[in-house]
Amino acid sequence: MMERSRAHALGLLGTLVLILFWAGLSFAEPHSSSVQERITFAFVRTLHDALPQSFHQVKVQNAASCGYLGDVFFAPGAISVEANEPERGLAAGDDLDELDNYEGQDASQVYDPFEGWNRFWFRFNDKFYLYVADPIYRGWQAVTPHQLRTGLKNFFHNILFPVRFVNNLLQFKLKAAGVEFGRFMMNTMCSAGFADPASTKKTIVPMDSAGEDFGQTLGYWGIGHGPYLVWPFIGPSSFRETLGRIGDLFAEPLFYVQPWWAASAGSLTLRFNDLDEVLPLYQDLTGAALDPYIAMREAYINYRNLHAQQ
Amino acid sequence: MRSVMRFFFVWALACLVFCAETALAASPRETLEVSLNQILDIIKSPAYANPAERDGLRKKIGQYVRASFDFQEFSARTVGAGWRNFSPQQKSAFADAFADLLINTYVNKIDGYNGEQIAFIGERLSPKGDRTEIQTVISQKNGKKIPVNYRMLPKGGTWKVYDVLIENISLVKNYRTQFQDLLRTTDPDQLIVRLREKASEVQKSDGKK
Repeated sequence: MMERSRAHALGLLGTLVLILFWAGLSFAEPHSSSVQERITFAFVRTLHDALPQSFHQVKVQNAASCGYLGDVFFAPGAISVEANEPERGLAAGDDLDELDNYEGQDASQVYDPFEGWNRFWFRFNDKFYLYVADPIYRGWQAVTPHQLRTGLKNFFHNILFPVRFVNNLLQFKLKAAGVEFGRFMMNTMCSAGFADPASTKKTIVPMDSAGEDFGQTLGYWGIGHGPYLVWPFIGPSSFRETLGRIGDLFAEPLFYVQPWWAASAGSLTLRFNDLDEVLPLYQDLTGAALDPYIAMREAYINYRNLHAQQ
Repeated sequence: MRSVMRFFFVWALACLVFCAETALAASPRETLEVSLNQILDIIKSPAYANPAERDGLRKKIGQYVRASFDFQEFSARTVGAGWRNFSPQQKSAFADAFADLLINTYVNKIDGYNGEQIAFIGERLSPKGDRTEIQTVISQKNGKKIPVNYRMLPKGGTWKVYDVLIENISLVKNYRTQFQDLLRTTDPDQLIVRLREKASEVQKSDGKK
């Protein structure tokens, strides 16, 4: 009996100490949310270590809000531990076990048997972008208001909806296909596609920012890139991506517009109008590279692999 | 009752352990947030809009970047296995040149603040807990979101960045292939010279614009 009440007293005391300790943390520094966040985080970490998978993602959404006495409240579900599926861990499969296993990789995993041909067209394209495309685009920027350029961009993106929709279906991403359909309907009805109000809406599934295309579908089906290729004017590609590009043509509405030369001119103009998303990126990437050709090749293949996984 | 006591004992102990950990060093996320905010504050300052003052401020940003990034780790990972053949002098010369190139490329082209916002969206730990990836998203004014992840490791009592992933493309890996390709035909000294040349070339081309 005696022992039991002592245990009670000790237990109560222990709880009290902990409550005071916790409260003390809140009082000590009014903005000390991080300390409590860390304790919570440490707790989540123990949890996450206890889980069997080799890699998990600890997510803290909606940074904690402060209540009375500076206590930190996490909304229900604000902290979640997600086990990454093994095949979808990081960019490449080699990153799964650690964040840090850069050792022991081959210099490049890109198959590039046509390097001579590719380098020739890479140099050609480089000059073309620098001395032809970029100056013309600057001229285009000077004579058009940015509203027109953005409107045309949205319009082009919107008419390419069938490509994204079909490829979502081919990858069995039914919800994402639904999102694409909803966006298309919303944008088409409110502005014939010249505005993009749908982009501000939250989607039911995370969307691939670049949109799905047939190259990604082929990747999703497990088909590799094959040899790396550089096409004149178009730039980096691969056997798979070239096939994907041709496949996507059939889902492009402009492909069915007659006469063909008008459709091609329209398509070319719209593509040209999108150049400002590519040219600065290209200049950043190659400008800082010791070997621009390799920098471009690696970045392109990594980027495409990543999107094929998403 | 004993189990209750033991439970509280373990709980109290666990709390103490976590507190000791917090006392040691700021979390990697906090460390990163502090340095990113320092840099953002400079870019946001009105003085930065003045081209005459910009060069000095960019130097300051460069110092902050050098303080929070570990360019030796950057270099070791980009060069890979060949790093062992570098002498200590070559290592530090290479790291300096690489730092110059990266800073000239990424920092010195920031002309001013355009309403970019940085949001911290999550972090992942390696199973051992000695490597972490802080995930952020830079939101531009036009609604574009660029995911930027910083990989960090503990070094000298604080956390330092050893790789940056922009759109999930690792900066280290992008340079890795180039360096390894070049190292097949040139020696470390020549590579360092080429790095230095490139860094000053980038610097000059920026001055022209």
